Amino acid sequence: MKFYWERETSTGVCSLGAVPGSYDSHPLISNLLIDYIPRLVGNPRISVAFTLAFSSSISGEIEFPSKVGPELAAGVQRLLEPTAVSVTPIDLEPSQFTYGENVFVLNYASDTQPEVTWAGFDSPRCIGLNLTDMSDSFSAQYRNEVLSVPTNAGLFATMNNLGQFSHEPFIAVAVMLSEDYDVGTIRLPKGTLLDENLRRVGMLLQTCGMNLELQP
Amino acid sequence: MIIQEKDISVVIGFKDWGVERLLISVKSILSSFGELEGEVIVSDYGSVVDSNVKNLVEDLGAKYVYTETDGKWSRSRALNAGFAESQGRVLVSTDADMLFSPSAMETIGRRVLSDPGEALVLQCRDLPKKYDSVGILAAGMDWDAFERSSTLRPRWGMGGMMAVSRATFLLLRGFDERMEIYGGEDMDFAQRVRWSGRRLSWISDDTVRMFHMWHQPTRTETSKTLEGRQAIEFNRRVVLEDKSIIRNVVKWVHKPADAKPIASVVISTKDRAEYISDSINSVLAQTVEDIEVIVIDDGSTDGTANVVQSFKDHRVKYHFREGAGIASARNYAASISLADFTVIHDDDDLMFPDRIENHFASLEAGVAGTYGGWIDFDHSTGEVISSNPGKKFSLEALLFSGKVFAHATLMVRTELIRQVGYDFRLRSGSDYNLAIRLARSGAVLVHTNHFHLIRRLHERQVTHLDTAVQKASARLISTLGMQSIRPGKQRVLRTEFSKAPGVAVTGDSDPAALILPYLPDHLVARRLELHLEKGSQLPARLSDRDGFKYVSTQDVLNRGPIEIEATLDDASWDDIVALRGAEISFTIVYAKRRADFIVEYPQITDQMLPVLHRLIVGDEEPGKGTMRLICIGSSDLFPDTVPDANSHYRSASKNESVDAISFILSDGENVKLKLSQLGIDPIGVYIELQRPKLNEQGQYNWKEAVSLVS
Repeated sequence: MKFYWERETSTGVCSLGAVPGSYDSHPLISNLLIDYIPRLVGNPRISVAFTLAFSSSISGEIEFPSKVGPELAAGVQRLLEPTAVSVTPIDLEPSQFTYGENVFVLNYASDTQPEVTWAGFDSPRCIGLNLTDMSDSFSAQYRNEVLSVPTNAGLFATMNNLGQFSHEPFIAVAVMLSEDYDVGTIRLPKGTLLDENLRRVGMLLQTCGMNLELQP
Repeated sequence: MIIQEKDISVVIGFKDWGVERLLISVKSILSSFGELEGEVIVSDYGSVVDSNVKNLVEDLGAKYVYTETDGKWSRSRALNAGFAESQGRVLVSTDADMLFSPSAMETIGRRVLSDPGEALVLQCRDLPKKYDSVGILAAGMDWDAFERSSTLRPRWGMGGMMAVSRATFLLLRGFDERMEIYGGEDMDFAQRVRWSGRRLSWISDDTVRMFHMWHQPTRTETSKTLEGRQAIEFNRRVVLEDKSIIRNVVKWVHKPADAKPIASVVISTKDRAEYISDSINSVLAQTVEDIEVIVIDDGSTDGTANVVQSFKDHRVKYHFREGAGIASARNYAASISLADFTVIHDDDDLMFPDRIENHFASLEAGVAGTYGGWIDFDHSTGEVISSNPGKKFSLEALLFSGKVFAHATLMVRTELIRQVGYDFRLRSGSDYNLAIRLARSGAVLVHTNHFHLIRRLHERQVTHLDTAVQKASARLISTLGMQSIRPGKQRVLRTEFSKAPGVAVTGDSDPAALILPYLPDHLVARRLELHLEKGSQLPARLSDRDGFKYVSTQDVLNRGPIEIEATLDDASWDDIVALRGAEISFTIVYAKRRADFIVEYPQITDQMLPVLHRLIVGDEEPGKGTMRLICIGSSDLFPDTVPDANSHYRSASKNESVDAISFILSDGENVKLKLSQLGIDPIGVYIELQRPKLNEQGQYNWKEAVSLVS
């Protein structure tokens, strides 16, 4: 699978896409769309976002737009097991990646809002990230420490995963927005239970300098 | 219907090959299920050699399915015939010469059960010559020895084993039944699996092995025959050129009992008793038969219920609800639809008969739905008001251009409607609203390059009655849809898309001719030519119809073959539906707007003339039955007015000037006497029996259809 992205499409959204290879599936919704134009996104984070977005479609070869470190490549392979994948291009030279101080508190339920409170100067700043259904919401906005961003991640997750819900496309969106908000930790919505798959997602996020947590 | 009682079903296609190899293969698979509930099905596709295969297979504990064939081998059809009888949640296809290691099928089955979004293939290992069926039986199942002595085959095709979830198989409607002999059917199936959103994985597990038992190759023999070469070439073209995901659309011969209809046609209606019959008939007349028609009555009070319930076709499902609006009705339809695809249809429109077939032909990878052009006609005159091919679908086109597509031309994945949904708060305009929201959500819709329907323009259309509301709802969603587009960019897009051309559509050069045969019955007279075959069962309503004619002619002097010509004049939509239901194919050979009628003469075809001229005038009584007497001669032979004459015929021949008249002959009436009474002295006479009698087998006896008299 070969990945590409457009920071801003002609309709004013950010789009992540993929060209399927010999064994990949063809996603029914081909592009992960975010109604927000990200300003800063480092290559490792984009590669992680691609992997999370298209994890249910990948089999065989993965080609990222830029080189990735061996740890990130290993994290990708671990996430997709038992499906066998090979990752290119690999960069064996060590390189710096961006860290972040803040926390995204995720919410993607339509009837709730992320709970964010200020815990003082010595605590990381929590920013609610409300990912709303793009078919029913228009334009991103920031208010009272909550960033609301329309995305098709929900539809992308269910239509490309045989109707099964999946967290990964939502986490991919959070990764794409994280650098602009100096975010290094993504906190999953309340009630999310840690399973083997999310544990592997967490390990993959670590390879681009991020962390995944559950809400207490 | 739920029939999944097994975890895994393995189907082997078979015909007259090495029975020993087959039995070794079956035994190895039966031993590889582990703790899973598994079954092996041997699908014998037309074996002619009586080798007691059935008993031998069943003695092992496997299932045996036999299919009568015309002698042609088709691996695709053989596998489908086996899967039609399967009960597994995981379906595996393989061949009769493969040997599976212990626990192989357990591993394969568990993996697909845990992730139905993955299809599995397995690389084949070729055993050396010493391990033919005899060698294997002599050596026993020495798996270590097989491992050491085998060679890994490259990833040609799909290796010889493919495992998919049952849901995947049913969605794709199995292997393509057009493909014959073998070669390419598994590649074709595998790429359709991927196009449908499932990934393909080669199993890399040391405990899962598939060994190919040695035998003399058969493909070279097959490719020596012309028929074999043609089949292999056809298969190759299917693999390379046919990008459609779903096959066996018009007819899936070997269909499992739990397969869902291919499409749910949804008609939301309110107080359209006058038009809805035509709308439903045009659906039932589709070339695709395996559908359901969901009619949601949004609170009609005009007798719509009676009209819809008068359809006795089990595919028509009527649901009455208190009026809640068309959007709500369509959402409800999506919630009860059985099919994975929803075809939108309006209660006052008529579909072209190949509409649903065309939808699926264009349904390719990454496509959420397909749409086509539409032609507006005047309900009172049948005149074409406008021909609308539609434009390429995109959010930009919807926002900055017009007439991109009509909602009623759309087929879309039902799940997408469930997920996105119509905005029930909109009294009208919810269709445009949905289109914008689908486009914004990243759904890709593609044009089929065909017209899909004819749209009836009448005074009670929503567009006429609710224009203000429709415009307001369109303005709201357009405004929202443009929110993220910078104003400067909007100007550029408006300029670009306002000039967007229409899509090239078949038949666009003469839309009036295209719609003519399919206009409502009050606007058009049609003649159908029926393609009857020996044993065809005519629907009862047709044999009683006035306009139904059939002629069975035979050159009695030269003992020529009996030729059947059957036509139906003034055929209605009801007649067309009845013919479809009876699986009688037909061609609309003639259609004319009733408004254009002055005097119309049905024509004697050129093919009929030689036979008619050779008719021998004898003394035979015509026998009982209602008959039409046709007298042939030049027009001056006939009196100006012939009592009871009900039609005139004019020869289609350019070289001969032959006219004819016809009239009904009463039961048992003497023809010679009748002609004498009328003062007619024709050069030839022949009689059509209007209603052929059923013989003892309940079939029409075409030989009795005509008598020669003087």
